[in-house]
Amino acid sequence: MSRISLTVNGQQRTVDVEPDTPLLWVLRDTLGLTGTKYGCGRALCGSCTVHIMNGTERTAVRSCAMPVSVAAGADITTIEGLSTGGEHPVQRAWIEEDVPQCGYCQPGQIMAAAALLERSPKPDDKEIDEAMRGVLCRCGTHVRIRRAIHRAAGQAGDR
Amino acid sequence: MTAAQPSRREFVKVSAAAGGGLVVAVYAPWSDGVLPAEAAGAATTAGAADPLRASAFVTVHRDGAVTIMAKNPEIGQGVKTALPMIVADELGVNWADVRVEQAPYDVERFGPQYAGGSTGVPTNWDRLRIAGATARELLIAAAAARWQVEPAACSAHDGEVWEGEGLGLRSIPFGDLVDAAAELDAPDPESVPLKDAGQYTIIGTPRRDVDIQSIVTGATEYGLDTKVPGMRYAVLERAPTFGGRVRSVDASRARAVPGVRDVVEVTPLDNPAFMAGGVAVVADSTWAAIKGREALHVEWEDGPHATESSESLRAQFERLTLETGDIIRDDGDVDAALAAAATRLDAVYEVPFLYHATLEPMNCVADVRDDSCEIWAPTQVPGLCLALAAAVTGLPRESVTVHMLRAGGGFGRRLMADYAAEAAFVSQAIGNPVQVVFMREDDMRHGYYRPAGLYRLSAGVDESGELIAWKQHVSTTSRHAFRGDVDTAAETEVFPDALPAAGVPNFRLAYSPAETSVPTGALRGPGKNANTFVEQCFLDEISLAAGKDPVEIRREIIGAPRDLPYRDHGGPTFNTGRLRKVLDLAVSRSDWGKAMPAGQGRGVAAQMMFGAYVAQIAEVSVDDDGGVRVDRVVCAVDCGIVINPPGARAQVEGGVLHGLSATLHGEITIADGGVVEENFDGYPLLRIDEAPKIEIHFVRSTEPPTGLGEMVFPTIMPAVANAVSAATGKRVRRLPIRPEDVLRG
Repeated sequence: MSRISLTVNGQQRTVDVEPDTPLLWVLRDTLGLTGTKYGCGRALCGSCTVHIMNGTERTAVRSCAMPVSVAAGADITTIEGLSTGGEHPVQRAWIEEDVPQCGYCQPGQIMAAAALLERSPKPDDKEIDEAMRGVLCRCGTHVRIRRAIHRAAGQAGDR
Repeated sequence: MTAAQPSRREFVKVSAAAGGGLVVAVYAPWSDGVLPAEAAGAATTAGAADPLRASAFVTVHRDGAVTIMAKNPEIGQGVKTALPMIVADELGVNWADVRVEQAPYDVERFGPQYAGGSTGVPTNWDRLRIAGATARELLIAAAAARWQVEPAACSAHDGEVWEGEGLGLRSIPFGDLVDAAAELDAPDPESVPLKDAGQYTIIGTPRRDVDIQSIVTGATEYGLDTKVPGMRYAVLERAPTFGGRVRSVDASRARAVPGVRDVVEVTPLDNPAFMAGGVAVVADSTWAAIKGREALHVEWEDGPHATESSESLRAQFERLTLETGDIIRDDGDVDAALAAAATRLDAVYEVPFLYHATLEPMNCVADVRDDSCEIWAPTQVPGLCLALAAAVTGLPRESVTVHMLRAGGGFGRRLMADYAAEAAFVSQAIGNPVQVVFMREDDMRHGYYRPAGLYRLSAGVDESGELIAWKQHVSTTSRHAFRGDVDTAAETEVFPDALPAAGVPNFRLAYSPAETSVPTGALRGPGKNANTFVEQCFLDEISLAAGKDPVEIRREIIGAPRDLPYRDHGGPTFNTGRLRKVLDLAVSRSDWGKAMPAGQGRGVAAQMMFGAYVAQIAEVSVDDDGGVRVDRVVCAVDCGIVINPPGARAQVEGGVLHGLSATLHGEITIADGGVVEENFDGYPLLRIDEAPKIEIHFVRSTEPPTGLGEMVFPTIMPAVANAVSAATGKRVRRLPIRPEDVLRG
């Protein structure tokens, strides 16, 4: 076991876990932040997407494939910390467009979309597809995800 | 308004809520519905219930707020929003004042509670309207008494009872009437007035998912998010061959892994559809359980079909479909008609095993004590969870409680309850609450797959281009046979009453179940999701041979508007006029008949399923390497009254995209008696860059609502395959669509 310090949603957290534990399970089992979902364990589905601050840039990473030792000292944002009450533009757009069906993949979708919009505030469909193709949805919410990202970018009705 | 015409006796009870308020309970004797056999399973014994125990479907509070219980499991199909909308509309309350609460599992209070067969809306339609109307009539009666007027002079809407007009218009908020209303006798449920379709104010209006705020903030608790004090985590090592058994376990290294608490051999139940068993590693965290399981060493005894493979199964299908098989339907003289036909077509179609691929893998929390068992499950069948937990633990059913959690997808996989049996078993063995988690690899390799099958078809067309003969012999790995149902005769693997059956004078349908150990079960549109592909594609082949347009041949087979008998789910009859209408609607909203550039094509498919009517027209582009891209899909749907338009559209979009996933990618391969694919690299799902433009048109209808969760999924597959053939001139006869099949035909 190792003591590892992380910043999660603006709070300093110290956990005592095996260093090879994926960040996902530390978030879920150790810190009780269950908004970040397990889907595949191999960075194939994107349900576990969180943000890590890289300098001033937010990067969307797959927490299921990142050992917590690698995340030591990192500044991490999960879906619970994206906003205080769901007022992030992406969350608002998700509500407006009624995106979710079962909803299980949506935290990962929202985190991926939020990172995209920081990088590219007015993405076109191609950029959206490129950024979002790594996050799987079985229910088939893809069409509304595209619409919601345009809406969050202030481009409602573009398409 | 029209009087309620419940198809069965409903019981109504009215009472005062604790702390003030009006409670209306509606109860209908259980075991009356169209409970799919999957859901029934071991769960159908909850017969004798006390109809007078309050079910509290709807509670009107003193502050005017209304609590409506969401009785069924929510798996992404939208019933947690749609069912309460039905109650609220009859009640006459504003949707903003409605709070929806997930009901616990209690069939005595809520009647059948499951998600299967797309039955949530149709089987609750009467009951929920009666619940809302009963509350409304009581509130009206209370207001009328206070005003000393006739109840007939009053109406209820916007959360108040109203009387008079112009300057004399007056109203009383529901909240001020609840205590008086709770003292009144309930109206007769047989005659309580229900709104006519034109009077709805909530039904047919767009409402967002009631959980949307908590979903987008990550606060919604799915099954996997359940935390019970002191809970441990378990993952199971399962047999590499289906039906395999543990020979010996060496747990010494696993037990040495930090955080591992226990290793438990999970004994299978006799029926592998209920629990196949394995070895559980129990730990303080999911990761410790995963690591412990990696260090586990288990020797296995092979299952009964340890050498079987996709190839051996295919050979078996080939052989069986050359025999006579069980004759399911035999009209006219199909062999004579084929011999006399001017043109004869023969074809073999194939479909693979499909994996449900719910994004939330199977999981369950159980807390088994000496005299009780509590289960937290994302499930479609809380009743089966209860029954299996009782069977596994030996506790009486009354001692088992099941909590339903919002499920991260179902698609039929959660009609099984193996996860609940495993969790109960492990919790009892360790004397501690535990969460059993399927890793993705476990979920993919130990599912209950859509049966694989082979379809041998022949058709005869006479000189005038009339389809006179259709012969079809189907062999699949029957899900009924797997489960050990007494009647394996293709109850829903094939559909003897579905068109083209009644539309062709000489028709024979035969079925042969194949021998296998591969577990199979219901997957979205069971049976239909294979037969529709086969029949709608073969019909296209026939139309080309007969020199007819694919839409035209469908119109001929559908024929004049009439009711035809239909013995399966969705019957007892179906209406050809409604099928014709969706076909015509899809055609009129697409560019059917318009020329397309080289390499592009348009395909059509139409069918009735579970009482709803669906037609789809797909447009595709095919590249030089045989790659298929779906560009546009036009859907026409008649599901009767649409309860929640955005929810309904989501089910249609979802059905299309899930269906495209199956059409373009879905295939589980069997080798050495087990599944080859392990994760989403081997079993890809459709991605956002493959999602086409989808146009949805609902038939405006006042017919009672059907379900909608499953009907679109099967229809898209033949529409796309037919479009590919239109683009290339080559016929695709197996799924998923492979580039080599597209190029070669």
